[in-house]
Amino acid sequence: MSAAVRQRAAAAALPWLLPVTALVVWQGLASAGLISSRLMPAPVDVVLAAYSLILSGELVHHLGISLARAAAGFVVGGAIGFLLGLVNGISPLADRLFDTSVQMIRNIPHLAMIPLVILWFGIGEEAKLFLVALGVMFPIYLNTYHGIRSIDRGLIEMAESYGLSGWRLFVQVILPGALPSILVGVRFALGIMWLTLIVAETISSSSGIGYMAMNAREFLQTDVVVVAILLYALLGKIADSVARLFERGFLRWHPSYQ
Amino acid sequence: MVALTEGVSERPAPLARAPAVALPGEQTGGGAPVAIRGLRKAFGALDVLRGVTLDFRPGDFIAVVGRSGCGKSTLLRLLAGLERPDDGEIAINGRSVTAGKGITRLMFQDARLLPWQRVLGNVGLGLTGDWRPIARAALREVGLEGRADDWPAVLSGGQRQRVALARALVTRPRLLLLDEPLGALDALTRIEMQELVETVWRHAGFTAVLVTHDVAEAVQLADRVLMIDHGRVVADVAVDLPRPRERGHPGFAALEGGILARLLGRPAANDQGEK
Repeated sequence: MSAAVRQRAAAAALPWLLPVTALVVWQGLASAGLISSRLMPAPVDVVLAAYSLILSGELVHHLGISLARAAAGFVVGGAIGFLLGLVNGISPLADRLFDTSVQMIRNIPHLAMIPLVILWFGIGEEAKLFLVALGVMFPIYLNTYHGIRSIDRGLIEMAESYGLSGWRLFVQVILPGALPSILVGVRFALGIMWLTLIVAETISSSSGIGYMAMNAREFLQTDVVVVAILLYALLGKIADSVARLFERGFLRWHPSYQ
Repeated sequence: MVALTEGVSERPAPLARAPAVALPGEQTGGGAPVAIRGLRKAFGALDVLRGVTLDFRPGDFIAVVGRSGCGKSTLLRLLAGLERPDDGEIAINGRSVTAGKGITRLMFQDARLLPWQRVLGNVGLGLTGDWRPIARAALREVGLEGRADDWPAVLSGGQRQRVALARALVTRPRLLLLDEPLGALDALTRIEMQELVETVWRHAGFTAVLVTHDVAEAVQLADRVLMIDHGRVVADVAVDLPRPRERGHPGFAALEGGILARLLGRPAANDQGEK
């Protein structure tokens, strides 16, 4: 192995050093009987629990439902936030009309709406969709708005004097100029998306990973609870990686991504 | 003092421009005449232009010099249609500024390239149809064909202004407005850019209006140097030196000295070499 390859391997392994060490220590303590398996099952037991959940098809079933909810809420809330940010960023009139109201709603913690949402929608799909959409909307709204407001005026003036207007001005100048900020909003929103879904599924649901965890708690299946928690960590990491991939793809022009 | 007659341009007739691609609906061919009558512009209580009347002949290279805030940039922005005059009229090729937008191009002090477009895409900004060969040809004219696929972020300041020049040239403008585009460049790059601007102007034959605070640059490039002070044209100097001009030439130095002295409000330091 050449020095360069070894160096690259070391650089790739470094972020995993702490998690892997933690796992090893955890397993060691559990095997030595220093941790009660009712409070914290050993990693091996967690893996076995995950394996049996996969075999029974339960895991895939709940995971699929959770993913669908997350995606639907993200699309609906993201679209509303994006459009609102766009309109308010471009039109001063719309800004004056909407912004105060949006800021007032934004400052209500959306999870505080859960009792009301259960009264409105029961514990059906609409409740989760509503909560996720509400949570996702604001980071995307704020960052879209900010992205459009902070575009270099000189570039817009240049583009207009070079004959761009309307849709072409939007697609070639305004949207790409706002995109770095919008993608920051997307990453924030992805975090909020999982958080909201976990809370909503834990409190009121009959399916999904949150439900799986709460159900396991009733039967003292601590290993299943831990599987669910780890799953959220994994899903969050995957969502963040996808967002980063988007950034690399869309922001190739940006010196920070070259 | 300096001659106030219009200089006779001994520039060769505009050459057939490579590439011979005309955009549909655009007239090519030579520079556009510009007529400015009683132009006034105020920003709040500040009168920036106070009655400017000028005529630019087709294909002339005009330099506008003056102190910061004298109104020279405003004049250019009015010609480009970026500002509206409070009073007075501008005719570009016999038509209004709005109607003349298609044949007018402005180069800004900063290159104002879109950072998310590659060099070629920046040059082709606003073009439709099969624009790539046209943009590539414009890049070749400024000597940057090899950088077509680079991002603007990796270019030097001089290269960015070259791309901005190619972008301005790609639609074959008949009036090119230059708002101190070389002001931020280092001395050597600046001389190269001046030569490039002169070359493309001689080839394309557009009317050029250059705003600058550098009197040497004005004398280097222009057929006519206009001095603006407090919103009025205070001098109109024909530059009758053969091209390409040498900075060491005595006539060059005399003209430059005369204009500088005038700008600084001093009597000309030496009268040698002046008519």
